[in-house]
Amino acid sequence: MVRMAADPLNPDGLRATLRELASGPLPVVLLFLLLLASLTLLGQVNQNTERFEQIFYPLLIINLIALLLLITLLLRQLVHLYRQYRDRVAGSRLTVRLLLLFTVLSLVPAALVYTYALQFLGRGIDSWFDLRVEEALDNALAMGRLSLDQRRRTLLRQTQALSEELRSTPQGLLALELSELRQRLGADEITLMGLDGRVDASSSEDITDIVPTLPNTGILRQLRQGHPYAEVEPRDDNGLIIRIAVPVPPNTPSEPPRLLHLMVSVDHRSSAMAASIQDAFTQYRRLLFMREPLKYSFILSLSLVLLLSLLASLWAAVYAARRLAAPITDLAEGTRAMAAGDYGRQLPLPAKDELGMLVRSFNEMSHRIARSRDEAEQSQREVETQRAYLEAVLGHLSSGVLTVDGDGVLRTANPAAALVLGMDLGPCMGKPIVTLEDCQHELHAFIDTLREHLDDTREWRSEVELFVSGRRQVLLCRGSRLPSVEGTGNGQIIVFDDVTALIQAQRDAAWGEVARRLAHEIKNPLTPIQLSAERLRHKILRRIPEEDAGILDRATHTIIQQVETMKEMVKAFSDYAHTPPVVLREVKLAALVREVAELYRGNHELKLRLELERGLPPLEADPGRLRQLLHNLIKNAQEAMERPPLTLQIRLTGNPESQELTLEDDGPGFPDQLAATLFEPYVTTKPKGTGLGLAIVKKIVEEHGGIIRAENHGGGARITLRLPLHH
Amino acid sequence: MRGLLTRGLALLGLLLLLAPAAVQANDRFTVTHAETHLKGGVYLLDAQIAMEFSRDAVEALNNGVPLTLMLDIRIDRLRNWWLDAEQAVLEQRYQLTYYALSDQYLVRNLNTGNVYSYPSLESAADAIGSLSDFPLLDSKLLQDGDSEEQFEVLLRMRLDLEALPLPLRVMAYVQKAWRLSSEWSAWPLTP
Repeated sequence: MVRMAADPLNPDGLRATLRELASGPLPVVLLFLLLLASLTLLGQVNQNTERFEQIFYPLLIINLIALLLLITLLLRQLVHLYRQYRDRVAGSRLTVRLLLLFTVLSLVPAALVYTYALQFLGRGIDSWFDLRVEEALDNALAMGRLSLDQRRRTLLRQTQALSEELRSTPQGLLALELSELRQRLGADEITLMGLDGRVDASSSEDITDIVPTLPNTGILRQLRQGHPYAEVEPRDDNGLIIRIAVPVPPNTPSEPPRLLHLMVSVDHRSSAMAASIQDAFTQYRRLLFMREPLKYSFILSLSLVLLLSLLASLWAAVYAARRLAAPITDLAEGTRAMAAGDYGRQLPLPAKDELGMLVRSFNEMSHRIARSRDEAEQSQREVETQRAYLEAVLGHLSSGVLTVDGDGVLRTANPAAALVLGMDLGPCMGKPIVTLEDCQHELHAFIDTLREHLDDTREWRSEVELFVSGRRQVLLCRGSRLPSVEGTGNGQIIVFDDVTALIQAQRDAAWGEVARRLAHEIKNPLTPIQLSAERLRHKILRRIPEEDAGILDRATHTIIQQVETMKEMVKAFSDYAHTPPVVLREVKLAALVREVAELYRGNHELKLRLELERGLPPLEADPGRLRQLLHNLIKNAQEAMERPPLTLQIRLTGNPESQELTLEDDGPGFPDQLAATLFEPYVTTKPKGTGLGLAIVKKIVEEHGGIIRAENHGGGARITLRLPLHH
Repeated sequence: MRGLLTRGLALLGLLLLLAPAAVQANDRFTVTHAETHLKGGVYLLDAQIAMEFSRDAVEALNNGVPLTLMLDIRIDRLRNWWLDAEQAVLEQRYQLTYYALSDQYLVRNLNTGNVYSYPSLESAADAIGSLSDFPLLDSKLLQDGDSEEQFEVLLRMRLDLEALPLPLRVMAYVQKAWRLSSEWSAWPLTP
């Protein structure tokens, strides 16, 4: 396993290092070494008991620590494993199975060996003891006792007899008497003393020994009760000594009681024999007594070792099982992660075995998938960027763009398309384009054109005229094949422009030109014609007879009148063609309207009704032009009148950006067929008029940046014009 | 860190369990009398300790297991507001054995090496438990510091489990019958 090298200096690093040490194989190796050591030492118990006693405790403590350590490690591992098993972590089942296998494999032989060892141990220890040996030792001791007892009794008798002699010995001769007694009895030391510990006299074989050996308190107590003391005692030098203490009866009742204390060495040979019997007996008895405790301690050691080895093997089993299962767990987790879409995950590489190869292949696969995913994402991003770019371009195009697939289903539409067609195209997406007609019936001309060209393989071009919301609209459509898109056959891209305004402008320009030419070409000969006719009338009228004069008069009159009319017409043309620059000033529209209306006050055929909003701000405009506009509009209404009187209502309203002027009459209204070309020159239904009136009005409105609309209301015509506050 | 701590505590507990402190006192051993007196510049101790051995201990003794008795003597300097300071420590060890050959109990003073025999266990125990004029320490040793200082003598007799043969020791640690020890008996050190 690849692990991060932990920094041992910081606490987290230290902990990590400890954890690593605890989870690695190191503890197990150490513990096995420890076990080996304890086993070796345990093996020496019989050979060197003393040494074993010294190391027993350290060994026990070390073993217990190792035991505790192992239990902790094992518990930790087992708890971990249990959690994994409970949470159904991948590989935990395999680990548990391996663990059970290992455990059974190690437990069964260990249990067998343990049972046999226990039996063997019990029998081995029991075999140390033999009833006959015990009996022999008892007998030997009894014999030793018997022989020593004989000597002791003899000595006691002799001493008791001699003590009588000392009774009457005067104080001065005591030392001499004692010395003699000592030699007679073969004693090492003889002391006459009081029961209170006061020494009267003493004699010792060893002349350097001045201080006599005194009997201990126990003996003194016994003597006080009147019983003599005679016992065999071990000496410091392993020899035996017989100690005799007998009370010496006092001469007179007033005399304090005294005792004779005697110490006689047992001869070396007997002493050695007795000591060896005593030693053997004691040791045997001790061993016999300790048989059960000895067994227990052996069993304890053995159990400890067994427990240690069991735990160690269990730990090793857990460790090995986890190690074995780790790459499989990793693989399972990696596969799951990949299934969940987490590509590119790299697993830690185990040893260079088959599993390692598998993991390496997995890593490579994961890496490749991640790379191809990245590439796909990259290209998708590029496509998105391109698409966004195209959309931006399409969105800012003034031309409407539609695309249909091979089945004639609408696939794309840019905002301009919706604008030009005057409808929301969103709901029509993914539907056959011919169904557009169902949504907006006014589009049928456009759809018909499309239907006609849908199967064209070449680029096509067509002009379509539509009437949308009462407005005439001319669309210039171009279509061309799209490169094949998968599954949908060849689609088409249709680009269309609203060229109404363009055509209108072209037409206006053409009319302007016509007007200018007409004015120029016709105006020139008109004056000579008029002058000639006047002159003719002036010079000839008086000279010709009355009958002819009447004809001439009418003829010249007609000529002059018609020329006058023509002049007016030419002037109108000239006015239309001639566009002096607009001089903008602040104009109060309401005042201007009132001023113009004043001029028509005397007219009985025309009733003007003004409805002007008060307090409107002035707007930027050319007052002269506006006056002309109003005159033209009023005149236009007047000319259209069929039967007088005509009521014309002029209404002025405003908002912060613009002001709107509405003129409504109760005349016949506009003929339907003129609706589209109402503002073009020479469009007129009136018996009089040049047909330029509304064309000029429109021109002025456009010069001021406004818009004009003409329509019929319930009973008459209505012209609405809106002028912006600022040009 | 917590894991380490628990492990440490567990270890400590184990050691305490194993510690040879037959700390748990048993009333089989009692200090019935203790006093000190100053004689010739030396503090002498007189004490009487009653010792009653448990059946297990007697049985072991009679089967040739030597018992080692330990007399712990401590002299503490009394301090206010603080733990008393240990001034001197004395340890007297006696080995009690059964001598089968003459059916006697031997008491070996392990400090001096002297051996005494006693006809009965009671008399042997009595001999061990009776201290008279036992030299404690030179009074000069205590006069270094402030003369106002107070001293205290502490005394305890106990069976030394460490000296038992190994197999028995294991049992002795866990069996109450083997925990033979008197309480610490304390009295002021007076001249």
